Amino acid sequence: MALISALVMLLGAVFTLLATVGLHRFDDVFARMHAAGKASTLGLLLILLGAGLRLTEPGDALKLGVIGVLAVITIPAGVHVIARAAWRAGTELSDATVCDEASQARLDER
Amino acid sequence: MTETIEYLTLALLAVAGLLALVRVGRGGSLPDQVLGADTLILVLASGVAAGAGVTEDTTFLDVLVVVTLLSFAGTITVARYVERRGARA
Amino acid sequence: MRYRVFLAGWLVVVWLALWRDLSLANLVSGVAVATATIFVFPPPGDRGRLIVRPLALLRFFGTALWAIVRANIVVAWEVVTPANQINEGVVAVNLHANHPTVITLVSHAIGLAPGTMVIDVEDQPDGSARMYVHVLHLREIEDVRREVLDLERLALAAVAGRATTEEGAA
Repeated sequence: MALISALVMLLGAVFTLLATVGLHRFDDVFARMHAAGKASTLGLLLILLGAGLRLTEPGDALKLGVIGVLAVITIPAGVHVIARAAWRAGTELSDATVCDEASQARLDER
Repeated sequence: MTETIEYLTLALLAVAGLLALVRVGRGGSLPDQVLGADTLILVLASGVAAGAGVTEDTTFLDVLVVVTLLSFAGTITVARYVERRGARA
Repeated sequence: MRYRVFLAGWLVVVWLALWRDLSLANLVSGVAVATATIFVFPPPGDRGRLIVRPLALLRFFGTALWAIVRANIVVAWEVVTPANQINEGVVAVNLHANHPTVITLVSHAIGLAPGTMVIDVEDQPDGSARMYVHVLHLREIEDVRREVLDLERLALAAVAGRATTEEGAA
């Protein structure tokens, strides 16, 4: 059981590492948010699951579960707020952008 | 075998934290740095959870709950500031 | 009313988790604290009543969780492969409902789904909401719109009351 828990936690650490590598790999702030937001969430959830396999007392498992639910609620919201702030502050999209309907709307407003 | 995996887990998380910190330092624009800081706190929370799983010591799980909520509140506050200030580094 | 019971139940779960000891005394004190909190700080209900349907809500959460797993496989692939095939785009989607809770649920599901992220939500003059979604791999604009509207349909099925199914705010 300890081995399974360690393996699950290792997978979680790998995903978290992928998230931060994604921060460097992409050259557009919005693409970086995709990587950081989604991979960090799953990484944290997997680590919580791995720890939960080892700390099997119901109170501890429930605490880990509550942390997981809070993470799923707050992390995407936090990433969205950063994205909205970057957008409203006027960050340019990268050169790889194909279609941009929101900029159209922004131009139309002006 | 299990110990090796546990050490590897913690080492990977340390590297992830370092990469996030580098993103905060290098920046490029202010939202990049805010994103790096948010990810750094997430890696920290993951590290505390992994440590609790490895050592079977549940003292710091309360810290995790508080850190998750406070990082959320902090990110929103800084994002509002970025919105007003503009995205220049 | 059912919404408040739902919120109070969640508070009781958090209370039990923080105390770590699932005893009867903790349960009773948790229910007392949760009920008092809901009374002192009632959730803002002026945008229309919400009806919580547990089965539809579970289905929504199941879809969201499966989306996280799919998204991360895609992200892992993206980060590891050397070729850079990203064509980003921002797509505008007109939602049917304007209730903040429904918009929040849809935004979370989009944020967890592969390749999509909500950038901004604007209130249109006719009362509906317009959501701008940033997509990592943009192939067909209509596909993105369909995916978002499907999520919105699931969210409405989970929590919509009479007020949110009509066009515009209640």
